[in-house]
Amino acid sequence: MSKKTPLYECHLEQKAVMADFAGFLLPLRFESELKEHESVRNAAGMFDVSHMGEFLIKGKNAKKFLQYILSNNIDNCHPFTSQYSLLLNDEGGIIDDLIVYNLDHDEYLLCVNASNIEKDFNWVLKQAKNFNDVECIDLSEQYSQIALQGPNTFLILKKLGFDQQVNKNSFCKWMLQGAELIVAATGYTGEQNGVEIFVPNKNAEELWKKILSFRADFGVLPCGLSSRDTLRIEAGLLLFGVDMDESITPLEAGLMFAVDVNKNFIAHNALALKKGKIEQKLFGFSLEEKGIARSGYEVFDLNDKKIGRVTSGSLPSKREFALGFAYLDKNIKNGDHVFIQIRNKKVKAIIRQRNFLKN
Amino acid sequence: MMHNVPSNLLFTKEHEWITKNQQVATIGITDHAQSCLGDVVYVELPEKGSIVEKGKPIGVVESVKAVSDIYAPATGKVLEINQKAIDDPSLINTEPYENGWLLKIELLKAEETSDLLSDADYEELLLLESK
Repeated sequence: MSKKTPLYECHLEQKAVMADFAGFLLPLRFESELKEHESVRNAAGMFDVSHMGEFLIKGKNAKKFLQYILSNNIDNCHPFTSQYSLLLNDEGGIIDDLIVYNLDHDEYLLCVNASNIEKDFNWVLKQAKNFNDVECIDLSEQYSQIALQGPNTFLILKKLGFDQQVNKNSFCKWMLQGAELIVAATGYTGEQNGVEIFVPNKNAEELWKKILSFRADFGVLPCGLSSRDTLRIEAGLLLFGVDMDESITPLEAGLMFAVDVNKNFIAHNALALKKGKIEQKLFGFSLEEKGIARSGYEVFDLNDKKIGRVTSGSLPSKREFALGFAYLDKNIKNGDHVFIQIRNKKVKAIIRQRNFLKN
Repeated sequence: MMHNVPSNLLFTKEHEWITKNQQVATIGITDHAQSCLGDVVYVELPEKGSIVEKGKPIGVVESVKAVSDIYAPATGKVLEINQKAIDDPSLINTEPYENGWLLKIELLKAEETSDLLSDADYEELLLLESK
């Protein structure tokens, strides 16, 4: 039985096409996923991301604990800032990717993927057994989350009475009609302006409707999973379960920017051993002919040798040619040409940086 | 949700439509089909001059999220494909029965259309599928 978020009724009122995602009923799209994608790039788009998981890690050893289990250097995650990090196993395999928020006073919030809530929490509890003075609490059921992304984000928030300065990756608290919200300048769309708002369940619907009331003034549209996918692909952002899983290390996934290789943490030795020995890497590609390359499609070099497979692919709004990511032989370079098998045709593609917004 | 089901067409279970009583028949996908797909972003059609066989996949209509096969409602020779729809796939969403048509074929076995669904039959199918 799929779970509903507190915004479920709102979505039905807006005539959203619903879908099951990680055990939750969420909007796949509202009117048009192309228009939703454009609204985020040109005005603003809003997403129900209440399905994500939230863990509170607190105690005198919370920081020491997180420094051990997370890949990134938590010393660089100052109070009231957030940091992208990876939960790795002792072989360097990716258990999940997440964002950690430093709430100050030895308290941290981990925001994890909905599909991994149970797995991640069990893992965190298991690891915490080796530390004193660390408490782990699963707050996932208590929090809803609304993401507002696009150039008009802060104009809309200002109209709602929020005028605090929040730098990228920072967050602050916002008292809205007696409720304490967390407004974080983070996002999954590649937009410079955007926030993810943690809101108590009982206040979620009111906030959602308030933001939507600015549709005429600021062009904000409700957006679903489909446009969320095209936006994140265009921005070069990975999706757990599609672009990486526990069989993949950050070396292959191109996520070493989120790893502090010098610190002594759970995956330090495994990654040191595997460095320089990986066989495949995750590259970005765009097609050079019409068509769409999708997950699982095979990739060949110009000599017709199979060199890998597509993980994510789509045709985002306003793009002439389809984009995506693929695991390919490690010797491939940006600028190389390849063929992707699309049904009975081999379609030419070019390999490039994954962030298609920047290149 | 009420979908448009014109009475002058015949339909397939796979949500294609074909014009009635014409030697040169026009084929497309239904309003219900485009609604399920969401924004159509890419169309692949058979080559002019090729033969399409009833019931076999002859091309695809792709949305942002999914690939959907197009099945031939009848056997025939492809006379024309709709370049406008190839260049602007959104026509399939906005005008599935008008400018969003996909291809025209010369029927080779006219009797094959006798087991296709009437508009009433297709509406009933949609009702059953929605349950």
